[in-house]
Amino acid sequence: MKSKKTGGGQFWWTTITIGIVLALIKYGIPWLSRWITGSDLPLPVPGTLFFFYTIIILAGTFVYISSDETTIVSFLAPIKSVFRGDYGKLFFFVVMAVTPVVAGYFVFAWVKPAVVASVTLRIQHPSSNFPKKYEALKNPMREPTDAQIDEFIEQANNNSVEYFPQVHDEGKQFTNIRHLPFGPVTKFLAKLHSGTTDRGLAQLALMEKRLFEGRALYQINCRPCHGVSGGGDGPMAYGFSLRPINFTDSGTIDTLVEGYTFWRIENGGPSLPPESTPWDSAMPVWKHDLTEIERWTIMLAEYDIAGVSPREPEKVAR
Amino acid sequence: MRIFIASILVLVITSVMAVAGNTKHVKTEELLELGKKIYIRNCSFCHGINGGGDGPVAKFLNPRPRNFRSNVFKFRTTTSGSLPTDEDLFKTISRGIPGTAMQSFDSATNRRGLTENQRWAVIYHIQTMSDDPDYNLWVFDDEYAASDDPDDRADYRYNKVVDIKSPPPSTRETITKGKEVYKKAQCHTCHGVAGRGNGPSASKLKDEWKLPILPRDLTKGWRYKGGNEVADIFTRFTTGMNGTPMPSYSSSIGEEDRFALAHYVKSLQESVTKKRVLTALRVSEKLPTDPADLLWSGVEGIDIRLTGNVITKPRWQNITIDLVRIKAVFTDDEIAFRLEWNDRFQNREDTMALQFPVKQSAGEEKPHFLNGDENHPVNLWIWRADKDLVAELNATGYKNPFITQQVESQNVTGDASFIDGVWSVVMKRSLVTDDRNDTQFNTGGFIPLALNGWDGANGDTGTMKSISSWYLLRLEKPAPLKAFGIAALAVLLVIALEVYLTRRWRRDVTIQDRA
Ligand code: HEC
Ligand code: HEC
Repeated sequence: MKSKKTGGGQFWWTTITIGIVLALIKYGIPWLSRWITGSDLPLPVPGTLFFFYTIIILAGTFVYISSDETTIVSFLAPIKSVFRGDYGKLFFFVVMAVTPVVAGYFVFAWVKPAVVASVTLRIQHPSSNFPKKYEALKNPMREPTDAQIDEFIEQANNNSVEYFPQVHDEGKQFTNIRHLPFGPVTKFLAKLHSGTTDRGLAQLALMEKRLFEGRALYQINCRPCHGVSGGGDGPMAYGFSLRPINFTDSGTIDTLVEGYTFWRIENGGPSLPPESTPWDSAMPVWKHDLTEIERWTIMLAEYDIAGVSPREPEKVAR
Repeated sequence: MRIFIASILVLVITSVMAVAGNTKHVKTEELLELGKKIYIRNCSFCHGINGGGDGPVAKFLNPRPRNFRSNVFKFRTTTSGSLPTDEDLFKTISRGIPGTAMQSFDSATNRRGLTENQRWAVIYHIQTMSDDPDYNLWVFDDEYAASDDPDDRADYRYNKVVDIKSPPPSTRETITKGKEVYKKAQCHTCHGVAGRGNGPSASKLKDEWKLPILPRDLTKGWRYKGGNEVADIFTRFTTGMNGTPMPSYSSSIGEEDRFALAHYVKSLQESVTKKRVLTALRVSEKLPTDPADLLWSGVEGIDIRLTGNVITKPRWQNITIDLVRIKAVFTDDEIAFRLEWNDRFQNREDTMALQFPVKQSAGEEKPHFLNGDENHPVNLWIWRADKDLVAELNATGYKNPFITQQVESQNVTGDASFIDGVWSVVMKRSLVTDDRNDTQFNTGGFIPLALNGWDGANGDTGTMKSISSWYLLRLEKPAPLKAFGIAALAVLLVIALEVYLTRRWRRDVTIQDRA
């Protein structure tokens, strides 16, 4: 296929091909990894890997060239011409002078002790120290008890529904549910005012209230990092080398059982095992700052904001 | 022929409809109902249930979320003091306001953001929250302004959309001219001569709600609230920012000069490197403590981004130190760092700390980036403006207080300068010490490095500070003699090969010639 007329065609084809392949490995792969992971830092191609690829490519090329007399001749033609001085004396001497220097430079760069950052692959959802007892935990805020519904109905009757302190903020705004313009709440209140209590509606209205409250807690506590819409893009996120998780990405909270998410929120970055680089994690230890019930309420909203549901725990046969 | 005209007509009509589909959605009862739900679910936590700007998140934020009852909007294409167009609001909500808590709600950039329809719905809802019952009568129509009836003019307050053309290309002349306009229009009284937001009036400014407000640091492109492109900048100072001291210059500066000014302001924005490895330069002269020493200008540094401490209580989202430019040099026995950051006001409480692990492990393992942990202490070098000296401290986790080292273990020296809104601090120490609580700088490896910063004038104190994650410091070992030897050998080998090939191939030619 290669043109034999030009005589040296094989040489140029070979150098250009090798050049392109090496450039692809050196720049293409990091670019691709940045594009896939969406992070600023590429997954680095380790130096040894780069070295091996180079050797493989050079060896392959050598085998190809030496497979046939004509390719050898075609490949060597331009090189021979240089050595014979076909391109002029000046060019001959320049090539003869530059080649050893370049070779010396590369050998020096290669043998000189270089400082290389160690590369570890991070495990995002480690299970090595995840306590088994969390595995089957269910969010207690998902299913209100009868007592809780009764309490809610009574509070609604007195027009003083209770919110967490962080949310009602010294009773400034959140003292009832009248401001919640959601179907179940407005229907429930309308019925209540006309003198009937619908327990089914009450339960739905209570869930709306909890979801709203969870959203408020999320916006106060989690939003600075995880973002107003759960995209991992909060106003503080840019400064952390380990980016806060984007909850809307598949493979994050949707692949986890609720108990796992609960455990991560409770214990934060410092409780991660070494394979998950806890030293880079900005995730706070929320058991210091939020009660257990507040954390479950936040989780209700977290999944809702991200538009995903938790994985169901597997039924363990006993 | 008729078919041709008909098809043209169809084309025109469909394209008009397509354009119309992209713009405003008709205000209906249904859309308003939807807007209310979206508002409560997405905006009320900051902007308040009734739009008063007083939701439970508000007290943690500076700038505060907007109070929608007062009809004051910063980002407009309308004349100073008037309301924004609906499209202006749409743009703000879609784009967000960089450098503030107000994020983009565009579902194209954030999967769980709001669709176009939802964004229009919420805009129509926030317009109903105004204390002014006539809000929705505010119209964009010259007819009312020209009306003879003064009641008409009062009721229907007049908003004129400012004519904003696309800017001409930037040239060296426009930038030079823009610089003159900047001076003549006295932008520097607030924004400072170099644009760092540190003009003489900067510290006294208040906004509409009587809260202190800072002029923009124009060198930080990522902090422009209304967009950092030339057209955005032009729009901002042409229309002004209602509710803030940032005036409108639509009548005082001619259009051509305003374009030049916009190009000049754009040229003030500094670029930021994204490197995470700081390579210290090996030098032979004695290391300077003077931040202005000429040695520094020849050293390549990196930019470290800082964010607020939102990890431990009390948390702090309102930082001003969000970038530190750092350089490092070392000799056989000493190492020095120079840190530079923009700070509008020199303050006694201004503080900057460099943090290193006390012990460096062979693998990836490090102390927690925020002041270490119980098992992995960190060593901090803290420079304080009031004392103008560098103290050596240790920390074992963000929950524990810092421990100042004994006087005899204090061996970091330093010097600082504050010039036109830039702090420049040098910290210097011997590479190796005999203190167990100090980090040791062994060459030939990576040493993790992080920063903590406090801006006194911003009220930063304790855990209310700027923090960075780990970056890496690289100290190259000098190449051993062996490496030079091997390289020399390679050079000789290549020369020998050259001589051999030349002689052989030239002989081939003569043989061929003879044959
Ligand atoms: C996390 C808090 C937060 C949330 C949630 C939030 N905002 Fe904001 N918003 C702010 C802050 C803070 C400002 C003021 C920025 C400034 O003044 O520089 C603001 C300003 C605004 C402005 C004023 C723009 C101007 O031209 O002056 C509008 C309009 C607005 N927000 C709409 C919304 C809407 C609509 C939503 C819900 C979809 C929303 N915001 C949700 C914090 C928030
Ligand atoms: C009286 C003080 C004052 C003067 C004079 C002034 N500014 Fe400003 N400027 C401000 C303040 C305050 C802000 C920040 C407003 C905010 O953050 O809401 C600002 C913001 C800006 C912004 C940022 C807009 C954005 O999107 O964030 C630009 C650009 C700007 N000014 C340009 C200028 C130019 C150009 C001039 C001179 C023609 C000028 N300013 C004169 C006070 C001033």
